[in-house]
Amino acid sequence: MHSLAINDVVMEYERPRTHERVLAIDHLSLTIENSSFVSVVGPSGCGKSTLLFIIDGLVRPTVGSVTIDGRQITSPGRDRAMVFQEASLFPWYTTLRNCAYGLECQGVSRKDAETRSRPLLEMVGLAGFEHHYPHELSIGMQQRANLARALAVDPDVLLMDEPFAALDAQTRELMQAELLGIWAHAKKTVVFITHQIDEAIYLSDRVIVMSARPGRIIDDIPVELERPRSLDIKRTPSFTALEERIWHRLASEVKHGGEMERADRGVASAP
Amino acid sequence: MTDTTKPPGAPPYRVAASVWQSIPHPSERLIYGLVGIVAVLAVWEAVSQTEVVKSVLISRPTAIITAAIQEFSTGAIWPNLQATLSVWALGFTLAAILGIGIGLLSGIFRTFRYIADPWLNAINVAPDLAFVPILILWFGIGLKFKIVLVLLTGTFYVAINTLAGVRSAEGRFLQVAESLGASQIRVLRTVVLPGSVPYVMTGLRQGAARSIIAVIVAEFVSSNQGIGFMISVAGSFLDTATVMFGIALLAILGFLVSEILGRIEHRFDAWRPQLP
Amino acid sequence: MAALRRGNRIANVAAPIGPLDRFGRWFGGNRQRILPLLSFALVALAWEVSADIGLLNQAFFASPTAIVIAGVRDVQTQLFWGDVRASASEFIVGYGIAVFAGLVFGFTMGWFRRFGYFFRPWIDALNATPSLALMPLVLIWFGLGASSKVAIVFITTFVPVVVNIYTGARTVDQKFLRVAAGFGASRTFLLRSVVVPSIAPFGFAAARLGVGRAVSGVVVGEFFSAQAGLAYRLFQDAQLLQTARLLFGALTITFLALGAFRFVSFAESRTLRWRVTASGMSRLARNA
Repeated sequence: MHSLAINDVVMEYERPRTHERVLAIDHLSLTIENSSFVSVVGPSGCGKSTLLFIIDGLVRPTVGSVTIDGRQITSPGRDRAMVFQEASLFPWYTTLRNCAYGLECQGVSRKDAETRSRPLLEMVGLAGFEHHYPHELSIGMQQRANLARALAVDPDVLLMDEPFAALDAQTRELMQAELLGIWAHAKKTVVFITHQIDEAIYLSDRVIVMSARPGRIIDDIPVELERPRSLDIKRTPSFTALEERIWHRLASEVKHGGEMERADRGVASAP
Repeated sequence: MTDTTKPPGAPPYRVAASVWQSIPHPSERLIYGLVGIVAVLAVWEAVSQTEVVKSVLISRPTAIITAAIQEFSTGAIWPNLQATLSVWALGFTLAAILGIGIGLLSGIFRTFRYIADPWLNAINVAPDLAFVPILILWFGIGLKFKIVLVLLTGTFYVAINTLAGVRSAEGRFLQVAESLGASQIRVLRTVVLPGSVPYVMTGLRQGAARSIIAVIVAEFVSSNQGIGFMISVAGSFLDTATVMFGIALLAILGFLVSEILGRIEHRFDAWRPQLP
Repeated sequence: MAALRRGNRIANVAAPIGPLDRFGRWFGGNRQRILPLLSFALVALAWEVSADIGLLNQAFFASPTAIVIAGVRDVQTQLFWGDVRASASEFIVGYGIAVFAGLVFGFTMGWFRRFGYFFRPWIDALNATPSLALMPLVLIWFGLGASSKVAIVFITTFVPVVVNIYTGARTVDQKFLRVAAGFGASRTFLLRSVVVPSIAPFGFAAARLGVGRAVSGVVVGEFFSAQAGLAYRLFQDAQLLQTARLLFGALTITFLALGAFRFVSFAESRTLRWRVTASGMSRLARNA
C-alpha cells in the first residue's frame, strides 16, 4: 500500500529583517494512506501551508523528512501537484494553456498537453471557456481551472491550500460538493487545508487539528460519515457533534494564534 | 516587492537546492555595489594610463580628482555653484507654489482640470531644450529666461502629483465625512488636503530634480556662470577632466536633492493608503 | 469631490427636454473632450487676433494663420524633408539600439542579482545626470558628425529603459514562480513561460518612456552640432527670427513624437492581447 509519511518534521527559519529565528513546525509526524482525503485545520500562522510546501518539495525541512512509499521527497515531482490559495493562473495564457502548463513543464508538447487538458476542463465545468483569458473568468471559475491544472498532471497526491477561501458562501458549498464528485472519480490522496471546520468534516476521511505556532498535531479525528455525502449532511446531528468537538479543540488555539498574529503584524508573517 | 531569485516558499525558508538559488545575504548589495564602483574606476584608470583608449577622450579618475581639488582650492567652483543653486532655488520655489496651486484647482474643480490637463501634458512631452529658442526670443538671455524654463519643467511635476493627491481622496472617506455632516470646506481641509500631502512631496521631489536639469540647460545656452556654463566651456577646450568633474558634481547634486526630499517624502509614507 | 456634487444632478431628470437642454446635456456629458479643444481654440483665436491687431509683435509671437502658411510652404520644400529624414534617422537608430540593449541589460541586472548590484551605482549616477551635460563628452568621442547625435540619443534612452526594466524584472509575482516551481519547471522554461511574459508590460512601458527621452536626445544632439534636422532648424529659425517657421517646426516634432508613441502603444496592444485595459474591461462582471 502506498502511503505518504511525514517523519518528525521540524521547520525553523529566520525572519528576513529582524533575523529572529522562528519555529514554524515542531516535530510533526503523520501518515496518510493512499487515496484518502485528509483535512488539516488550525489557527492562522500555525504552519499549515508550510507543511504543504514541504510535502510538495518546494521547501526542505530543517529536520526530518517526507517520504512517499519510503522514497524521500527532495523537490517537486510528477506524483504531487498543488492547488494554491490564489488561483494564480497566468494572465498571459488562455485557460486551456494554463491547464496544460503542468504537462508542458514535464516536456509534453504544447499540442498534446492541451489535448490532454481539454477533458479536465470539461470535468470541472469549464467547457467552452478554453480560449478565454483568466481575467475574463470569475474567481470561482479561476479556481476550477486551477484545480484542472493540478489534475492534468495526474498526480498521486493533491495538495490544496485553502482553495475555496476567496469564494462566497454559496459558491464555496457547491465547489465542495463538486470536489467530492471529482475525487470519487479520480481516487487521489488529498491533503486539504482549510479554516472552515464544516468544510473539513464534509470533505474528508480524517481531520487533523494543528496547534498555533509552533505547529504540532493536537488531534487526529476520523470522520466516519458515509460516502457519497450530500451537502445536507452538514445539518445532521453526527456532523454537528463532530463540528463542536473540533471547534472546542481549536478555540483556545485560535485565541493564542490571534495574539501571535498581532505581534507579527508589520513584519513578514509566516503562512 | 519581491526578489525573483528568492525561494518560492515564503521568503525566509531554506529551499531544496535544485529548485532555486540561495537566499541573498543582506550585505551583498552593498558589497557588490562597492566592488562595482571600485572595479570600474580601476579599469578606467588602467585603460587611460596605458592609452588603450586615448586618455584625452576619457580622462581618468585621478585627473578628475585633481581637477576637482583644483576647482575647490582655487575657489573657482563656488561662484558657479552659487549661481546655479540660487537660480534653481528661486525658480523651483515659484514652480512649487504654482504647481501646487494648479494641482489643487485641477483636483477640486473638474472643469479646471479638463482645461489645464492638455496644456500640462503638451508642455511635458516637449524636451526642455526645444523651448529654449522660443523663450530666448520672448525673454532674452538672462535670469528671467532661466526662471521661466525652470518654471515650465518644475510646475508640471508638482502639479501632476498634487492632482493625483487630491483625487486620491477615496470616495469612502468623503462619504464618511459627509454623513457626519461636514461642510465641503471642512471636508477639503480635513480629508482631501492631508491625504494629498504624500503625493505633493513626491511631486516636489521629482520637480526639484528636473528643475536642476532645466537650470543647466539654460546655462549651456546663455550664461557666463553656473555649472552648466563651466561644463560647456571645459568641453570646448577639450578639458575632459573638468567636464567629467562637472558631470559628477551634477550627479551628486541630483542625488542629494533626491535623497533629502525622498527622506522627507518617506516620512509621509505612513499616511499613504496601503496598496493591495 | 465630484461625489459630493453628484446629488445635485438628480433633480434635472424630470425636467422637459428642449433643444437648449439637449445641447447642455451633450456638452456636460462630453465635457472632458470638449473643454480642452475649446481652450486651445480660444487661445488660438485670441492669439490670432492680438497678432493681427498688433497687440503682439508678429516677430515674437507669430499668429496661428502665419504658422499655418509657413507650414504649408515648408512642407513643399526639400529642405524640410531633408530635416525630417535626418532627425528621424537619428531617432530610429538611436532609439532602436537603446531599447533593445536597454531591455537586455536591464533584464540581466534584474534577473542576476549580483550583476544588478554591481552596476547599480553607475546606472543610478548616469540616471541623475542631465544628458545635456554629457554632450561635450559625446562630442569629444564622436566628433561633430551624425554618430554623435545617434550616441546621445542612445545614452538618453538607454539609461531610463534599463532602470525601468530593472525594477520590473525584480518584481515578478511570487505566486507565479511558486506555481512554476511546483510543476517542476526548469530554469529556462521558467524564464520563457513566466518571467518574460510577466515583464513584457514593463518592457513596453519602458519603450514608451524611451520615446520622449529619445526625442529629447535628438534635440540636444542637434543643438550642438548639426547641418540638418528638425531641432537644428528650430534653433536656426530662432536666430533668424523666423518665428512662424519655428513654431511649425516645434509642432512637427511634437506630432512625430506622438506618432512614435502611438506606434509603441499599438505594438503593445497587438503583442499583449491578454492585457486588461481600463476601458477594455471584458466579461468580468460576474466576479464574486
